[in-house]
Amino acid sequence: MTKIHTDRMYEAELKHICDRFAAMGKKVEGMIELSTHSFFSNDLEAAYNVIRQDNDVDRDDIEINTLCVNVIARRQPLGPDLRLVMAIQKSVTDLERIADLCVSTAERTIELGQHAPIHFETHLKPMTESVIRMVHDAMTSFETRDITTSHRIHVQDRMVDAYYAQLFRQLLELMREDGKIVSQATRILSIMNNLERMGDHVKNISEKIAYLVTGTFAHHKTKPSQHIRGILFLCVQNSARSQMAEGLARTLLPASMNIFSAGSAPAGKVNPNAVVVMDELGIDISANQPKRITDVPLGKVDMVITLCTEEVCVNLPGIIQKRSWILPDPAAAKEADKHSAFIGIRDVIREKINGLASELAGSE
Amino acid sequence: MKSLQTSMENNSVIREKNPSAIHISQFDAWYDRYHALKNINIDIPEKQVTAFIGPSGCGKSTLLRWMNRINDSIFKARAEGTLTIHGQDILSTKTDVVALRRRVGIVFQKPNPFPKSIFENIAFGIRMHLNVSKKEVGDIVEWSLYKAGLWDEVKDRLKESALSLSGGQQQRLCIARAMALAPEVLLMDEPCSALDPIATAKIEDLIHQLRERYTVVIVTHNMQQATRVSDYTAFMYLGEMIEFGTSDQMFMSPNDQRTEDYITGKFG
Repeated sequence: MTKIHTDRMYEAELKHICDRFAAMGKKVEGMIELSTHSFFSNDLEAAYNVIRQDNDVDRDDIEINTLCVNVIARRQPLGPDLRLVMAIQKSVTDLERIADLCVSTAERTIELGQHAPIHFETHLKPMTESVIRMVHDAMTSFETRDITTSHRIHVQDRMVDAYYAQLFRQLLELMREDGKIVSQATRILSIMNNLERMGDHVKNISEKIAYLVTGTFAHHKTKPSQHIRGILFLCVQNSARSQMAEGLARTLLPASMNIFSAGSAPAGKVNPNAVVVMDELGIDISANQPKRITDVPLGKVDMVITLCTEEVCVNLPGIIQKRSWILPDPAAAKEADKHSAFIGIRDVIREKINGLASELAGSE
Repeated sequence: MKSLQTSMENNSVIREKNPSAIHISQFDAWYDRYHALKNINIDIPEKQVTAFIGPSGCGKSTLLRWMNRINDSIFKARAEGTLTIHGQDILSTKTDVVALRRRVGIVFQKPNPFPKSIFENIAFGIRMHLNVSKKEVGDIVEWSLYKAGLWDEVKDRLKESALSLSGGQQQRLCIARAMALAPEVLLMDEPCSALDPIATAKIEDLIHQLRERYTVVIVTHNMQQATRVSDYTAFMYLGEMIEFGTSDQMFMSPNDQRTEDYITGKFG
């Protein structure tokens, strides 16, 4: 058993913060269960309950934050005590956001109650279960200071992302088939979105707990870029942004790099404006054709870069890194501004690929 | 303002680059038969502030006192091992202790000005150690008082007794007295424990300035003070050096359980 603080009042203060945080975690876990239950069973009473419980969680957020600030001001905690206070203060924010997402789910459920149900729940249940398991694992790892489960949390989060991508495509198909369900489908989409974002928040919490235990911050931004030998650029139509990126990458990255572009709904031909502005740099992409993702030899791809928000985030096996460079669609500009819009996007992409080139070179 | 900026920039540079000013290895010390320090090994980096922390009786003051041989006067105090400052063997019987104390200044918990005028407190050591003209003595006195942040407070009363100053002013006078002799190392044994928070803040501000010229070693019971002023921290316990590292690391994620218990206040 580890020692306790000589000042027992201080020991009690820290323990109180821990207990409040654990209780808040339990409450939020319950809210996820209740809000998703309300959706699956169309239980509106439960949905209203979730909305009421959010007040409690908001109060927890403020009170735990106040306790943390007070203990910093009055005790000047050091070492693991300071890490504890910092980790809790940050995680409380994530818990509060998760509760807000539960409220959003409950509200969408109430709205859906007025519509005829659509049969679309197959994969939402396992997605929900994954999120609940993640929260449970994270809060348990806080209690036990055992972070061996943090790996499992990351795996679960990737599964949640994968479920989301899958469901998104299914839902899109359903909407194409039957336009009448759009208003229900967008609400279900929003519920899926909520679950996916909850997963991200839990991952944050698990990183804070890892910091509490190990004293080092997780590096989640730039992973080592070694072993990147193939890059795939994606945008929906594969006609402008991803085509320009492919052309620029072929020029700016080492010749040994495999470079592809594709889209989930490829256009008939490459946008002529893209061909013109690339030609201005002496890069000829006029012979290129928009392609489907399945046309690309995916075995050669290690990194996927998405260039627009609309593109579905694909989960491909063997991908070391996924990035998104969200850029506006230059083809959406007014006719008179189109040329300069394409030049603007081209130059942003060029800069980003130059950055990527030095990053890849630096890591070898 | 400029010097403040420099000292903040210094804070962010890679500290490993500073060479060692004080080298201590396989160092043991006794008071008669009491084994006060056991196999101490540490390299104290040059022009940085190193804090020694640890519970009473852990040996941190003893170690500090050996660095300028103040312990010589204590009956049956002896030491073995290596203790060098910029390469010079401090423990050697051939060491000129008076010259050593010019190079290695010390400031104690209780300010100890001479019962003389403010001016004379500083001028005395200059005349004894440095071969300079009367005008230069005055210049050095002014420079040291200025550097210690005391000049504006005392410039019109230099002839008054140093004992008429407040505790915080007396302590800064003692630091000015040490600085006047251009030491390489400044040792501070609990320099603020008798001072109020404002006087403490002035001394701590001064310590930040001192690290530009001198290697500073400070012993303190006040953990928050160590976090505020030091670049490096050493934790001592029962005569042993338990852990030594950058203060950032020592106060956020120490490696040794005993260090962790001490800084978080788990002593029992």
